[in-house]
Formats: sequence, structure tokens, C-alpha cells
Amino acid sequence: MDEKFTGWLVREHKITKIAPIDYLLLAGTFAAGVMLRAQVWGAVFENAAYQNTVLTMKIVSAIFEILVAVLTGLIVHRLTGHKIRSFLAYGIGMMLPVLVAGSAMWGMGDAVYLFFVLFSLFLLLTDGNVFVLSLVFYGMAVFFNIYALFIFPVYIWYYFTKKPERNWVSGFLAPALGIILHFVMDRGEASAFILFREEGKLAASRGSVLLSYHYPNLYQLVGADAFVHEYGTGFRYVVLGAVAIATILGMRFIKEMTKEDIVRYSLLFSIAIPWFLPFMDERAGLLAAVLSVFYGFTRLKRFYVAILQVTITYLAYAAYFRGDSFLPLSVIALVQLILFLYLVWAEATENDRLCEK
Amino acid sequence: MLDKAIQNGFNKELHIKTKKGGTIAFGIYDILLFLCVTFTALMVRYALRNVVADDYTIFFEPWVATLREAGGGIRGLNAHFDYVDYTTPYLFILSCISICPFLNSLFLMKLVSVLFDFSAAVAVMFLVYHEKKNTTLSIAAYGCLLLAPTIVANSSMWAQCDIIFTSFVMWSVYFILKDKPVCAMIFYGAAFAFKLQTFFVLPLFVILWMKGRVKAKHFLFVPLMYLVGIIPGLIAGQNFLDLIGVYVMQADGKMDIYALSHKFPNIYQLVGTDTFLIEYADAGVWLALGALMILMYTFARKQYELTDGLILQMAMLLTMTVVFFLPHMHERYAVLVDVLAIAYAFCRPRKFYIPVLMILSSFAGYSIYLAKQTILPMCVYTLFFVYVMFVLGTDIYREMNGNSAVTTGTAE
Repeated sequence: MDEKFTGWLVREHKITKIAPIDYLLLAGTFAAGVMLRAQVWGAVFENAAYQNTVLTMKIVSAIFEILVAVLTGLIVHRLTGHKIRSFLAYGIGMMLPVLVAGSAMWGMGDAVYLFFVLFSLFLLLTDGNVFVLSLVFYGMAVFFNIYALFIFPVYIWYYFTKKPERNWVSGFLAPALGIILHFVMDRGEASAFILFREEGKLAASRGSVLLSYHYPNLYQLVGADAFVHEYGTGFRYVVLGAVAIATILGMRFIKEMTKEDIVRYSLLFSIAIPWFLPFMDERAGLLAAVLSVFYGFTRLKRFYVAILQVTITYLAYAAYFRGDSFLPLSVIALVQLILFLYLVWAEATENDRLCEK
Repeated sequence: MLDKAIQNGFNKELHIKTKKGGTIAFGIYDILLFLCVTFTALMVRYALRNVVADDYTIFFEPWVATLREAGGGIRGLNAHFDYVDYTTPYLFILSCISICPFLNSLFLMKLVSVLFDFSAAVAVMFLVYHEKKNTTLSIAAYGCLLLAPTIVANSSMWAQCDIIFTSFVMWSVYFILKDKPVCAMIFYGAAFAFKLQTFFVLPLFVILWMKGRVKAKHFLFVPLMYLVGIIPGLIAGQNFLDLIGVYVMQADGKMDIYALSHKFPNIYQLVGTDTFLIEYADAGVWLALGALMILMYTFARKQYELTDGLILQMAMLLTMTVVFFLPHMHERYAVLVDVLAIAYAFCRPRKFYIPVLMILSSFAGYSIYLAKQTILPMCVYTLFFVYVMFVLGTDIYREMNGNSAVTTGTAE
């Protein structure tokens, strides 16, 4: 009897190739994810400057988060071809603390831009000729949140490594339009869009201008409140220049781009840019956190990268919620830098090994 | 001539025949080692006999006094407490202690726990022998467990009884490895009768059921043993519903809500133990459940040979996952993992650093509680904890894949 039942649990359906235990996981993690959100829904930030309590926005964010979790599973399936891993990725996506904290607790709508970024990446990972469509979704992501731009160089590299069948370059109009529309709509609290309005309220609540708002980056090491204007202006140009140089070098030297490359380059950019860029806020690491999950599933030996990245990102959120960081942000910033350098080293040596083979 | 006789005597191997026709070989050296380790372990405990922890003066001493006033023994169980969260079996032990004419209550309480220290050590010794068939190594494991700082501190300093349920769980694991599921579940049930924390390792038994090592009917021993445990209370005339409701009150956790972690190196040591006390606590329960679901799915879904090593590793990882995410965990809640880690390290000597890191991080909480100090910040110990979890996860994954390659000829 026991064997029959346990056997049935893991027996795959002939057509769908899905076993009852898979459905159990999907339903179980969905329920756990929903309950997780429900528990923190009414959290009140006593020490934080601003918290959005608009119910509609929280609900919309939660719906987008579920879509993000589904996309996480699909992307992992596309990357690895493994069904079990994709189910696990969905489960992790449903319960990713950074996502839950961002929407259910804080009430910010980051899941919206994240969904469009992931959908864009999902299309990019598709073997078909959907690059332009991918850029359209990417443009929408940029419109909703400018942080989506962190991975823009990857799109350029991808473009230069492929032989377009149609006029792909027109696709780049979408992110350009996204940037323009973002700045047109982004008029702080006066914006017509609730997402932008909430961002405006958050920005207005900040008080003094800082080089980093609880984000564990360079400015936590040198001081977030000193030479704000000078460092702020200077480092913007430095980062812009560095990204431009990296993009040009990539265009010159990267001849081929695999699905895994898309993920790892995206991850590297999404960690590096906010680490150097001034005026980053607590949520700047969200994209890196989600990308690190993809990376973890493609490089299982280095799954700790995902654990570390998600933890680092969450600690920035927690610092905002508490009003200060439980752990020194300078230490977290240092850990983030070490993780980034390690990733560069690990991927470079991995590439060398592949080349030698 | 005499020298030769002595040397020969020491080198001589003795053999004990087992029921199944096998033999257990051991030398005089092994006997000496066993005696020496036992003596050392006893003396360490004797040296700590007078340490009085706050828990004793705040909780245990008044409880024992109340039990004594009510008559002690079976009659003592009718005593009315303002607050007590122990189950009948342990209260019965305390009640018997309360009327014991020899020695003081503190010493007797510690003595009971020390007896179970030895029980757990013997279980680990048998477990290691089952795995390695090496008597010296098994005795070394027995010794390591008896001298592990957390085990010594738990029973001999703190006068806590966590080792009782831990020893039962270890016997349960041992019988699982011996492929005796009935005995295993009886011991697991006995552990449950003593402490709710036994549930930390329940996911392992679900995996064992999925893999055919335990039958569903065997799980009935868990409530059965609990019922056996409350018999003294029923004889004393206590309300049945009250007796079975102790864990409901514990799970409610009203006593512990002032901090998300009680000096335990888990996730809350990273995000802060003193903010969002209700929200994080409730969310933590679901996060723990979700994490368990993901781990259990991974272990149950794949086809592979479930080896003894894998069982030990899974027991550790699943227990660690629970205590890592659950809120309100106390300093002592990783004691089961400490014991499992020692057993595991002796089965896989290359992983000796696992119990070292585990006990180090576990002992940090003991230090804060007992000595009111710790050398490193708790978050550092949390990182040790996470590292051990990661190493275990990686090892399990590798072994599962290796075993699936052996059984099916393919690896994922």
C-alpha cells in the first residue's frame, strides 16, 4: 500500500511528464508564499521614513510576484532543461524574501519592472527570432524602473554576437523610449502613475541627500554623506565611462553568447553597477538577487552565490525597515565586493578551462 | 618474559559473537580507551555539579517544590503550576526527584540528564560501528560526544533535559540504519513524548517513508508512545485533554515572543532579533515550511539509493533548516544537530570540521546564557551555521547524483 502510494506520487504522467509530487510542490510553495506575504502585510515601520500602505499596489505587486516566480521556473527550465530544477526555482521564487519584503511589507512595486525584465530575458533565451520583442519588454521594464538599465550592455553584446535575420537594431528604440517616458512620467508625487508617485513620496521622505541609502556599496566604505555633490557627479561619469568601455570591449571580444553567458554577464553588471553608482537605494540589488538564483541553478556548485546575494540584498531592505542596519553596512559592502571579484575570477577561470578543452 | 606476556595481552583481540552470526572484535586497548573516556566524561560532569543556571532557580526549583508539596511521585503530578511547559514523562521524573531522600534536586536532575548523555553516546557508538565496523573509531565517537562542550554544558551545567529526547532520536536513527523501522519509530515516539523539538527531524521520517524505509503504519507509534508517556498523569487523575494539550501551548510560544531568536545563531541574527517581532515570527514559520517543502521535494522526487550516510546528512540538514528559519529558537535547540554531526564526522572523517563548526556556533548561545559573554558577534556564528548547511547540501546533492548514476546508469 505504502509503495503504491509513494510510487504514484513520483510517477510522471505519460503526456505532461509531471508527477503528483510536482503539483504538491507547486501548490505547497504557492500557499507558503501567499501566507508569507499575508503575515507581513500589516507590518508597520516605526523607524523608517516612508511606507506605502495602498492596498491596490500591494495586491498588484503580489500578482506580479507570482508571475515573476513562474518566470523564474521557466527561465531555469530554459537554461538547464531540467524539470525538477525549474519547479524548485519556482518554489524559491515564490518565497524569495527580497520580493516579499519589497511588496507585501514595503508596498513598493518593484515586481512590475522585474517581471518585464525577466520576460525580456526569457525571450532572449528563446532560440527563435524574438530579439526585438525582448527589447520591447525590456523597454517597458526601463520605463517602470530605471534600475533595469543595469543589464543593458548584455543586450548590446547579444546583438553583436548574432546574425540578425531582420532589422533588429530598431528594437533598441524601445529601451530608449522607456528611458524618455520614465523621466517624463517621473515627476515625483505629482506623477500620474501610482508607481512613480510612491517613488516620489519615498524620495521626498529621505531628508538629506546621501550617496547611498542603506545600499551596501562603495559609499558605505568611504562615507555616504561626505562630498555628496562631488562624488555624486564624478562617480556617475566614472560608472558611465566604465560601462561604455566594458560594452565596447565586449562588442570587440565576445564572439559567442550562450544562454548561461546572458545570465552571468547580467548578474555581473547588476552587481557591479549599483556597487559603484551613487544615490542607490535599498532596492537597487533586487535584480542581482533574482539573477543570482538563475546563476545558482546553472552553476549548482556555486549555489552559495545566490544565497549570499539574496542575503546581501535583503540586509539592505532590513536596514531600511529597522532604520539602521543590524550588521555594519560597510562590512556587507565589502562582502558584496568580494563576491563580485570572486565571481569574475571564477567565471574567467571557467572560461579558460573551457577554452583549453 | 613478563613484558612479552603484557604486550601480547594488550595486542590480543577479543571477539563477541552477535545474534546474526557476526563477530565484534576489540582489543584491550579499546577497553582501556572506553574506560578512560568514560572516567573523564564522568569527572568533567562531577566538576560541574554545583553550577546553578538561571533556569534552575527561576523554573526548575519552584516546579520541584510544587511537585513536592503535592506529594511527589505520581501524586505530585496533580500539582497546580502557574506555568509549566514540560510533558508528563519529564514532570514525573521531576516529581520522583522531589521526594528522593538522597542528594539534592539539582544534582539529581543533572544525574538523569547525564545518564541520557551516556545513552546518546552509546547510540552514536553503535551507529558508527554499524557504519565503519571499527571498534576504536566507535569508542572515539562515544568519547567525542561525551566530551562535546554543548552536551556537557546542557546536562551538567544547565541541568537541561534536551539530551533525553536527543538520545531517543539517535537510537531511532540507529535502528533506521539497522533497517528496524518499528524500533526506530518506538524510540522516535518516546522522544516525542518528552519534547516537541523532536518534530524538527520529522521531515526525515517523511523522506524515509517516501523511500520505503518506514511504513505509514509505523508512524502510529508516535502518538502511541505519547499516550504511554501520559499514563502517570492519568493515574494521578489529570484531565486527558490537558495532558495532550501541552504541545499546543508550547507551539503557541507566548513565553518567547520578546525576541526572534533566543541567542541562537539563525537567520534573525542577521536581520535583527528585536524588530518586527510578530511579522517576522509569523513569516518565519512559513519560510521554514517553504524551505522544508523545497528540500523534501528534492530528496523525495529524485531516484537514488538512500545510503546510511545520506540519511545522517539529511537528518542534519533538515533539522538545521527548521531551526535556522523558525523564530523563537533557544540556545539549546541545535543539540540534536551537534550529536548527529559527531556521528557523521566519524562516518566521514574528512568532514571532521562539520561538528567543530557546528558545536562552535551552537556553544556561542550557551556562552551567552551561562557565562553572559561571547567572543565573536552572533552573526559570525550564524555564518558558520550557514556554511555547514551549505556543505551538507552540496554533499547530499553530490551523493544523490552519484547514487542515481549507480542505480540508473545516468546522472542529472
